[in-house]
This record gives sequence, structure tokens and C-alpha cells, in this order.
Amino acid sequence: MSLLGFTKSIHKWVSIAVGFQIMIWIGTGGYFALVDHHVAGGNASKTSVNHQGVKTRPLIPWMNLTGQSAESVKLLWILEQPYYQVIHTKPEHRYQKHYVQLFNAYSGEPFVLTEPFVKKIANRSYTGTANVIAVSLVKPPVRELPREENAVWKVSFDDPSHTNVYIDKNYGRVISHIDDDRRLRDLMFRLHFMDYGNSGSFNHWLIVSAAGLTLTLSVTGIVWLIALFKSGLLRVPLAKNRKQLSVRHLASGTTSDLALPKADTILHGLAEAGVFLPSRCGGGGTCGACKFKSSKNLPQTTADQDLLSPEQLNRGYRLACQHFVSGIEQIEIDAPQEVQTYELTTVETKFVTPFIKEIKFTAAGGKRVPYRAGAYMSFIIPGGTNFIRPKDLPQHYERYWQQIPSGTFTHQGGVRHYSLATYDSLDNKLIFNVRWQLHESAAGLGSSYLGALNVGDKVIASGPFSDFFASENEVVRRVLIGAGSGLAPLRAIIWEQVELGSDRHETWLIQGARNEDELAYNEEFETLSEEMGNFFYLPTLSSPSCNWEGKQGYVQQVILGQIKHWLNGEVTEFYLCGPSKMMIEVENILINSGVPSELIFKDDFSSGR
Amino acid sequence: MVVVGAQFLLWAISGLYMVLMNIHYVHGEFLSVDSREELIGREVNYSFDSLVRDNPKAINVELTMSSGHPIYRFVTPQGHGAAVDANTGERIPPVKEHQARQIAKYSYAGNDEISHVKLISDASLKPSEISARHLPVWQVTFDHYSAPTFYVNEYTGEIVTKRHTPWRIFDWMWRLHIMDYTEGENVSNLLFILSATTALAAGLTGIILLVLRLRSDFAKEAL
Repeated sequence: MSLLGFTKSIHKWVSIAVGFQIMIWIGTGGYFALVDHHVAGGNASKTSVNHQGVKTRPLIPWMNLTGQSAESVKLLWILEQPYYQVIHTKPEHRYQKHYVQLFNAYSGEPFVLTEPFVKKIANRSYTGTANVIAVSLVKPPVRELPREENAVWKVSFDDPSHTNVYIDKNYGRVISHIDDDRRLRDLMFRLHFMDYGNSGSFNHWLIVSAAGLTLTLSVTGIVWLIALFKSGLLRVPLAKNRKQLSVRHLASGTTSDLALPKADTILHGLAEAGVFLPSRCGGGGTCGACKFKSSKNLPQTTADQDLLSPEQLNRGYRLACQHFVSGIEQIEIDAPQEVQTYELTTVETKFVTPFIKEIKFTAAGGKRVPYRAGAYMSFIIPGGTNFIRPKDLPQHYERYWQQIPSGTFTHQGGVRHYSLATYDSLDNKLIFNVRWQLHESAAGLGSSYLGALNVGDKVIASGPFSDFFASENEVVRRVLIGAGSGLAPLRAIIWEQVELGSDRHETWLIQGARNEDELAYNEEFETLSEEMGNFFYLPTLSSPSCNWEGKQGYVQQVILGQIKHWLNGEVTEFYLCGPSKMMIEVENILINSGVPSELIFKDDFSSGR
Repeated sequence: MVVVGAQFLLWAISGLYMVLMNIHYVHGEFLSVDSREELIGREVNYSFDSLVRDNPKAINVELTMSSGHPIYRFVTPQGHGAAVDANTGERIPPVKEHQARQIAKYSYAGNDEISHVKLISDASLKPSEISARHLPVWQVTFDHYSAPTFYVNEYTGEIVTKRHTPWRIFDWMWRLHIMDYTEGENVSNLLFILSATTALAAGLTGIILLVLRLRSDFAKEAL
């Protein structure tokens, strides 16, 4: 265990020992700070008593008194009458045991303070209107005056705050008024001084040990704070700047994009997004539960080193409470995934090709849905009866649908996945491309259901999830290859790359289709390639019209023609999305041409998507 | 914790000091010898009766021994101390420097020499460790690392208070403890209230964290 680990361990054990007493100290300390000390001292109904009188007869010389040996003699006035107070031993403090005798200073008779005197003195000292209900001489220990070592007179008043007036039997002076306010204060003092034996003292072993432990706790705490500060884990987030973090869930194999505050630790950022990593210490770097894995070689904090094995560290595991969102793009976690589900409202639908419908949604309540380019969502398709053909097919696409029967079909419902054709900061609408799947006497569940939506209709979808996205690698070029509705995630990535700036690497799009009508977003890409010097657009058609001037054939042929150029000493990444037959063939071409498989990224939407 | 961490440390240090040091030691009770003397009655030729007759408004009249001779001490209506020779009934003149030295030395339990003596009569120039009601006083400091200081009242020759370094430190610790960095008297200062509130929050969250951690520690062991 490192020195810091040792410090943390001490901190924990000491806090068990004195934690509750510290709370008592803080609580009672707060009371002392807030309370009115005059009232809390029992002085609410107390006034000073002037006993001073005037001599009316000669005073008897003190030498004539019996038992005259004394340390000192005081002329003491009690209720305007003079008395000699013969002091045999006078201690440092009034409450300590003292040996004192009183004599009438006129007659020399020994004098003892009796109940009528005491009652009178108490009444003079008391400003309230209540009456005396009891008078008694109390021998020490006096419960309400814990330090008192002498017998004292106690005069109780019949008031709501249960005032007791204590009078010194040797001086005839009021010691204290003890009322409920004062009792509360004394209780606070007892708690603060850990005086659980009511000794009235704060010099005892219990409090000394507690104070020693508290000092240990403070020192270890400060050492820990300094260590946190040094490792950069202690900062004040000024603004909640967010960034996308792609989180791969090992349990489900899915990946979700979460927009997390940059200044948060991964643990807290994920928690805010509803993903709870296990943590027993709450982010203190002491339990070692909040593991995550990063492909990036992150620095190791002392907590990482203490709580993870060298093997785990080498494999890229770190503690989520020890690292910030800001330095990281992608992590893997083993925590159960909190799937976000949204109710989406249809805001726009239109055919963009004879078989692909572009549908736009907004989340209910204008809720922001964070995701990155290339993400998909899973739509809940309720069971029911759907039309095989769309009802709003534009006239000019009618010829492609002549073979398709009209009518309805019934199904059980299910879940269908669709890629987003945009990304969150580009568009606040969620845009999907739904391609009509057609079978003998039925249509696809998803396409017939989503394709029949009218503006205002609501659907339920969860996600977004992302397995497919542009890497953050410093590469020279990205080649995107797609066909059919596989264009959707590629379109999102293209716009994302465009937004990153034209002075960056090249982006290529190889789009395959049967004819001009099926070339989705053709005009948009044409315009973009004219405007952006680093975007290259190569559409290719397998059966074009005679007016087509572009490339003819399948995407595979275009790739074969370009591959030499792309692999010419530069790093090129390939992004594939489309029908599975096309994807397999393209991948084979790339591998055979010497493209390393880690530079090929596939969005395999045919397998269950 | 970042905000009140340093104050926590100060509370812990000052609290530990205050509970560790016996309060009677702090008050320097060991500094003076047990100088109790029996009153010598035969030297008292001036009675209480005469004193009250000559000084009708005197309060707290006390007959006691001072450096081997009986004297009366009392408080005048003006509020300052006064002393009268119990043998002759004459007002004892204000204590001179050599007498102050003598009184302090007589009462001091140690063998150290006096390092310096100073008369303090102006309330605005008094050190913060003594109260204005003790003025005027001779400040007699002994040559010791704890700088024991006896304060001798100029009018009565009485040692009104004592100080030494542990007591002075105690006062500082008290100020740190209540966070009153000026006078050391105001417990209800805003800084203290704010810190106490923050500390309460910090303490509570600390307890919650501790409970969470212990629960999981035990759960882990049970596996």
C-alpha cells in the first residue's frame, strides 16, 4: 500500500472512531455561535443585587470573635447588614472547597445564612413575577453546578423556564440562575467537552484521545486533499462544457454516445447520464469498484495503482473517479446500461427515392437527444395490420411500384433499428431513412409502419446507440462506401467531417444505386463536393438512363479503380454501409489490396438492423 | 472540504491543545508560592470600625497580610483599589517599582531573576492579556522561557493576575477555535457561523460516505 493509501486507511478508521463526536462538536459549536449568550447563561431573569448598607452602630473588633485565626477577614454586607467573613483558606476559584465563617459585625455572634435570608436575596436577584416554591440547602455534588465543591442554597421559582437561583452559603451571593436556557447551554457544553460524567471539566482522557484522533483525521484529510489537488482531480467546474463520450457496454455489446460535462470525472459524468458504475466510496478513490477500460494509454493515479492489479493497468483499466471526461473519447464499461427511451413525434415525411422515405421526428417536450454521427435508434413496432403499399407515393415513382400488390398484412410487432442521417449539433430533428422492404404478400414491419406515419403521429424509440462512427485518428483520408438506405449514417459522418473544417483530411463518398432516381441525396452531395475542396463524390449506377455521365457499374469496380491512389503511402480509413452482399465484396477487395482490417469500419445493418 | 479543511485542522490543533493542557496549569496557579499567612492580630491597631468611619463608601473591605504586615484593602467609590496600614491607619502610598519587584519576587515560586518591570496605567496602552479593571498595575516579568508575568496593582500591592506562555498560547488557541481573529471574545462572528455550517455539511457528507464505505466493506467481506 502506498503512503497515500495508508493515509486513506487511517482516515477511514479514525473517522469511525470520532466521526459522531465531530458531528457533535460541529453541532454544538454551531449552537454556541448562534445562541444569545446572555439568555443562554441563565441571565434572562437575573439582575445584580446590591447588599451594601450603612453602619448604624460601632462594629465589634474582629479580634473579639471566637476562632479568630484566619488568613484574612472581610467586611461583608448581606442585605445591608455588616458581617465579618473570617477566611481560613481561600482557594483560587470560588467553586473550590473553602473554609469560611460568618459573624455579625455588630454583636460578634456567629451567623449562618438561613432560609428567610436566602429567599429574600433570591427574590431581589429575580426580575420575573413568579413565586418561590422551594428552598433547600444542597450538598455537593450539585447536579446543576458540576464543579461546585461547597454546599449551596437552591431557591426554585414557579416559572415556565423552571428557574433555580443558587446562592453561596458563605457569601450570600448569587452564583447563578439555572433556567431551561441555561440547562440547554450546559448540556451543549457537556456534549462539546465530552463531559459525560458531569465533572465540569474538559481535561480528561476521553476528550484528549478524541482530540488527538481528530487531529490525525484532519492531517490525513489534508494530505489526501493535497494529493487530489496535485493529481488534478480537484477543480472547480466553471461552465458545464460537454463532450461526446462513446461508451461501449460489455454486457450488451452495444455502444451509446453520451454527452458528459468535460470537467466531471467519468464516474460522475456517467452517473449524470444515468449510467451507474459500481462505487462504494462515492468517488473517493478508495473502493476500486468503478473500473472502466480505455484503449488510450491514460496516466495512472495513485488510487489506480493501489486498487488495480498491474495486469489490469496494462490492459487499460482505470478507475472512473480518477479520470476526467475531457481527456477521453471512448471507453468500455461493464455496468448495466440505462437505455434512454423517447417518445418521438413525426414532423415531416417524404420520399427521397422510389423506395426510401425520409422521416423526421422531434423528441417529446423538445428534449435534447445526444448522439454522434453514425448512431442508430431502435424503434418499437407495435403489432397490428399495415398496408403493403404506401398511400402517399408520389406520382413519378408510381412506375417502380407496378408489380407490388395493394392490400394489408397483419403482424406481431417487433423492434427495428434505423440509422440517423444526421447528428445532434447539425440538426435538432432526428432524421431517418426508411427503405421499403417488400416480400411476396407483405412489406417489412418497420417500413410499412414507419412509412405510414403522418405528421403528428407518435412512436417510441430507444437509444441512440453507436457502433459506427468516424475515428478520431489523425488520418489523411476517409473513404465512405454505401448504397441504398445505408447512406444515412454516411451522410451524418460526411456532415460531421465537413463541419470540422475544409483544411483537414479528405472525405470520399462512393455511392452505389441502380439508377438516378434511387441515388438518395444526390443533389446535396453534388453541391457539397463543388463547395468543399476536400470532399470527393463518386456516385455509380448499375443501370443508368442514357443521360448519365457519371460512373457506371457497381461500387466494387469504382474501388478497384481508385484503390492504388488511396493506398499510395497515406493512411486511409474505409467506412462501409449498405446491403450485405456489397459489404462483403468491398471488404474482400480492400483486404486483398492490403488494407489492414483495423482501418475498415462497417455498419452492418442487414444483420438484425 | 476544500473550503473548511484548513479550519478543521485549526479546530483540531487548538482543541487538542486546550484539552491537553490542564486548566489550572494554564492559569499559572503553580507560579506563586503558597504565601498564605496567619493574620497577626496584635499588629492590628486600626479597626474595621475606624476604617468604615474614615471611608464610609469603601466596598469590599478586607483585612489581609501583605509582605508580613497586616493591611486593609478596599475599593474606593472611584472604582480603584486602595490600601491602608492596619497598624497605623495610614493610607499606603502607591507601590514603587522596587516594592513591586519585592512583592512579585516574594510570591514567585521560581528562582529566576526579574527581566523587566513596567508601570501600566493607561487603558489604551494595556496589553490585551489584562483587563482594564486591574489598572494601574506594575507588569513584572521574570527571566524564564515561559515569560512568567505578575501584575501588581499600584494602589494595593495585590497580585491581581498572572500570565505565562502556556496561557498566552491558550488564548490564541481559543481565538483560532472560535475563529475570532481580532479580540478573542466574539463567538457569534459571521466567519465562525459560516464555517460551522459548511463544516456541518462536510461532516454529514463525510458520515454518509463512511457509512456507504463500511457497508460495502462488510458486504465485500461477506462474499
